Amino acid sequence: MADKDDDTTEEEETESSEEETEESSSEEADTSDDDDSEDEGSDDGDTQEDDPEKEFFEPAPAPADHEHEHEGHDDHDNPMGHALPVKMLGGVLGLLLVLTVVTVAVTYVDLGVLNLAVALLIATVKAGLVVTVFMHLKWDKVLNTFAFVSSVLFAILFVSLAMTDRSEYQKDIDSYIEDNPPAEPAAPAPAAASAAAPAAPAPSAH
Amino acid sequence: MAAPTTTADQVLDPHPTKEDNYFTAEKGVLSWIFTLDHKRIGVMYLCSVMTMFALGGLFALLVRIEHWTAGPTLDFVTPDMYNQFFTLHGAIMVFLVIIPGIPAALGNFVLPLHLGAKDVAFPKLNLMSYHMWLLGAAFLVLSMVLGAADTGWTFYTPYSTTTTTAVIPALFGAFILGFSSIFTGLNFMTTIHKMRAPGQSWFRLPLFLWAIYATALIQVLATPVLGITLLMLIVERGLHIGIFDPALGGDPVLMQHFFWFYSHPAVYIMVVPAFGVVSEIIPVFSRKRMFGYKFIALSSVAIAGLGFLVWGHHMFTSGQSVVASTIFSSITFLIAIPTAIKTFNWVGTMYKGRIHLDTPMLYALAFLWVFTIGGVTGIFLAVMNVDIHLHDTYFVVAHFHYVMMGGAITAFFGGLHYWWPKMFGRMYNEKQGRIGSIGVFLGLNLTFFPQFIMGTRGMPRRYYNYLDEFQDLHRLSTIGALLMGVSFLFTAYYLIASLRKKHDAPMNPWGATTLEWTTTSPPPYYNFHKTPPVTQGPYDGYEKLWYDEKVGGYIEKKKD
Amino acid sequence: MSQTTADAHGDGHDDDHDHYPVNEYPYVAHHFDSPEHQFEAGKFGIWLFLVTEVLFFSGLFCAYAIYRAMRPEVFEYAHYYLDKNLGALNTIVLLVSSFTAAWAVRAARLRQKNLLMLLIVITIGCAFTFMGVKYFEYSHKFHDQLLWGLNFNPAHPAWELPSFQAKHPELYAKIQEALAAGGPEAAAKVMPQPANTHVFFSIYFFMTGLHGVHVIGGIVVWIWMLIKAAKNQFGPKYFGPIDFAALYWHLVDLVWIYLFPLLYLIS
Repeated sequence: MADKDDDTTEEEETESSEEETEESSSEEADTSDDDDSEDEGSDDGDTQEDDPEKEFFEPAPAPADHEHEHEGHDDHDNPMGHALPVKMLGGVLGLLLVLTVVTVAVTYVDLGVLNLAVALLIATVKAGLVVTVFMHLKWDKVLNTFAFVSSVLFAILFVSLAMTDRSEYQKDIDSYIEDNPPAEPAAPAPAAASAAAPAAPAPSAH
Repeated sequence: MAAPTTTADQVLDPHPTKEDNYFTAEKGVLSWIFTLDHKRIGVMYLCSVMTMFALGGLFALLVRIEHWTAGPTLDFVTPDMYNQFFTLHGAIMVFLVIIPGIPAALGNFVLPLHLGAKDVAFPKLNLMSYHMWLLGAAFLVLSMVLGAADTGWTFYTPYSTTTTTAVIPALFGAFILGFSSIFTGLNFMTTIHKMRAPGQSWFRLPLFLWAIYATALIQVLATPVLGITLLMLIVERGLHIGIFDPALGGDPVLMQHFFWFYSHPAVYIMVVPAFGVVSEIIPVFSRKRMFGYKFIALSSVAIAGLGFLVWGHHMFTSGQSVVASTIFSSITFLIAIPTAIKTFNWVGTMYKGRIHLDTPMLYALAFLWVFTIGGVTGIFLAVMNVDIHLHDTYFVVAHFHYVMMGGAITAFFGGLHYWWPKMFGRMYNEKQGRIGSIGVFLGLNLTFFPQFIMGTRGMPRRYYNYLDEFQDLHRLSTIGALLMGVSFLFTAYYLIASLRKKHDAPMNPWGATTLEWTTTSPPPYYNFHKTPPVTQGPYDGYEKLWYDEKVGGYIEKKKD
Repeated sequence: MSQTTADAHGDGHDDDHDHYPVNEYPYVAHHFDSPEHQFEAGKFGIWLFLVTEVLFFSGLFCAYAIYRAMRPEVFEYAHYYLDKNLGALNTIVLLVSSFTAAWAVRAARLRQKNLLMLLIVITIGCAFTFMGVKYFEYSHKFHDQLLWGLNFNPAHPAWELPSFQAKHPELYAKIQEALAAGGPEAAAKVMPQPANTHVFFSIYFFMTGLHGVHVIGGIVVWIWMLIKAAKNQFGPKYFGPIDFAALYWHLVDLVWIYLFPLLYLIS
């Protein structure tokens, strides 16, 4: 984790020149970039020193964890996290786009059942990238990760139990349909359905 | 928690400035409608919920009176109207009264006070959730005007997609109410996580907050599924998309899965906060430390978790597969364990305590009795073959009402009486309070116990007419309902009458040690003049508090 | 955590009385202690909101999973009606907007006001592009009556679609033979339309429609953020709203990441 952050801070410094496209805020951007590369936890120090809009953001008190300054890059030091370098974000975007192309390409290869599995796997990798990097969950509080993971688990619980049941009684439905075949087996469903549901008024098509 | 350190003189005159009372801090109707103060939002919820309780109760009474004779009784109640009455009774009581009752009305008021916080984490969201509640209630009322839904509160397909009554406004109302409930839960969860007073560790939280937290978990994790279910039903009914409608290739049993994935956990949304209220009342009026605090706290969370795994026990007769029914049935038995742990610990708390039989305690004792009956009959219904016999009979109705009415509503009234002095700064007439609570308790048992008997003998629920042999039991039940109605009217009378008196509630009328009793009654706008530090558990330190005749409440014992 | 007093909020108070404890930041609500406190509460709140969103969508994914598992032939038949390329285009558009949203968070906390506004504008632009493509797809389906329920009355059977012909040339040759021999009825016997094919379109419209509503909601949120950004409100201590809007926007993207293969890439 620490190594990675060192890399990213270097990237930031090289980038700050690119970011000087704005006239008004380039200076601030530059300074805060530099400070950011020193330590993510010292934002408030920056604002006190060279922030033209001090009055709005003042007074900024020293956070409780100030003593951790310059002690490596523990991301949990600053409760508000840290700014992600643009290169990292861009890299993730690149990966996501590549994966999108791959997932489309795979559909031209017939893998049988595996097609669905591969498509879902790629989607999950993409989702993982978005969640960990774009949504900052990798550096976030464990509580937030826990909340998000639990939502996925509960969704899976819901879907899987409902599916288990449906697949169990599917044979009852099939045997019922077998015993009571629709008037024209090959006819499209709506025709059969409209006969079966006289009470349902047909909504307008547009 | 810090015991009150105020002197008797301060307690007698707790309102030196108008900001010291959230009622007088701001003036005008708009200051109420757009307030961000959690206490005012709680009071508005309380008034609205009580109004709806009266309306839902009226429908219940009409249903009961209709059953006075085996045939048609009331001239103006046709069979169709009867269907609408029980649907409205169910929908109003579930979505508009019990679900918001304890968490939104009492919880809103008490939760930040319990935490020593100035407000909930998101006051605007809190207000929005109240406004959404109003909107949802408006839609439900609108559906009444437009030809009320007659589907029952469960909205099962295919009937709900084919009946000619105004189902869509009712569905839409419930949809909005669902989001109101989600936002309340989200808000409370964040508040409990992030706004605790210094020193207030998780195991120093009052048990009410553990219960609210467990409830919020369910609200956040289950209610969205209700939202999508109702939305799909609205679309199914409006556009006929064929997901739930069997005529179009849909699956009505799937709809029941969707519905109960929310609605079984939802019964814990209704009853877990009640556990919390009872857990607050019992130690205070037993003057004894809570027995098994951690067990009660964690059992709330266990109930919330297990509650997600049992929804299929509502569907034993629906065509659900045997495999699923077996799984759901066996997990259902497990729910009895955390619930019994709670009951055991409440009784353990009272054992050798100095029990004060004040009105809140009477309600809590009524809860213990009634909820135990309701809970144990729930175990009967979890047994699959018994359920096949009892499904859709009055036995289920009685079980449900013993738990919801006897559990949630009884605890709600207990909590209302317990926090009434804090909310409004007035003491109600204690004697009248005791009479009212006893009336509710007797009426409740008289109403619903005969229904158990009728159910086992085969009286089906939701029937307009019935066989003559059930008439006596139905009449007993109706008499009980009327007794309950009268008791609630009486309760409303003396509570409202207390408001006309001048301020007389002390800071701490019951001698409780949770944080809300360390501020004035009613509390100031910002709740506490200083964030109170927490140095002990929520039920510690009763021995330091002494009743003071002059104050009319408890103050800290002087060292002399 | 204990508070110092602040005179700024003491208006209307009696002087001889204790001041109410209020924090000293203009952009921090009165009931929070510090910007960090407010940010953490907001962050947890928005994550909980995302939890509810995931579960909200889970109902539709459940319906999808069940019908896909129980009626695979419907999905196999109906997916030829969807245009993979448009779906992929929309995926790319949303991914780019997610990237700009993530970058916007960085810009907000570094107080790069103009960059922030530019990024928000790009995000909004992507959202509109997405909706434009959706509109194009929807109007095409309405035109061909590829709709839900009883409105399902496709103008063309699946074998007339290029996507089908490219994928199954042998089957298409057979169908052409049948067409030549016995007309459309004979062709329909070779490749019958499965019962309840309309359910695919019910699910398609419901899922993409609900997702589209979330995109529109996102547009509203981003416009609001643009206004706040224009007022130069954001900085290292106050960038929560941008962060939360971006989190929501990423979730919208996440849903689409799954919708795309599930609806468009069926084989």
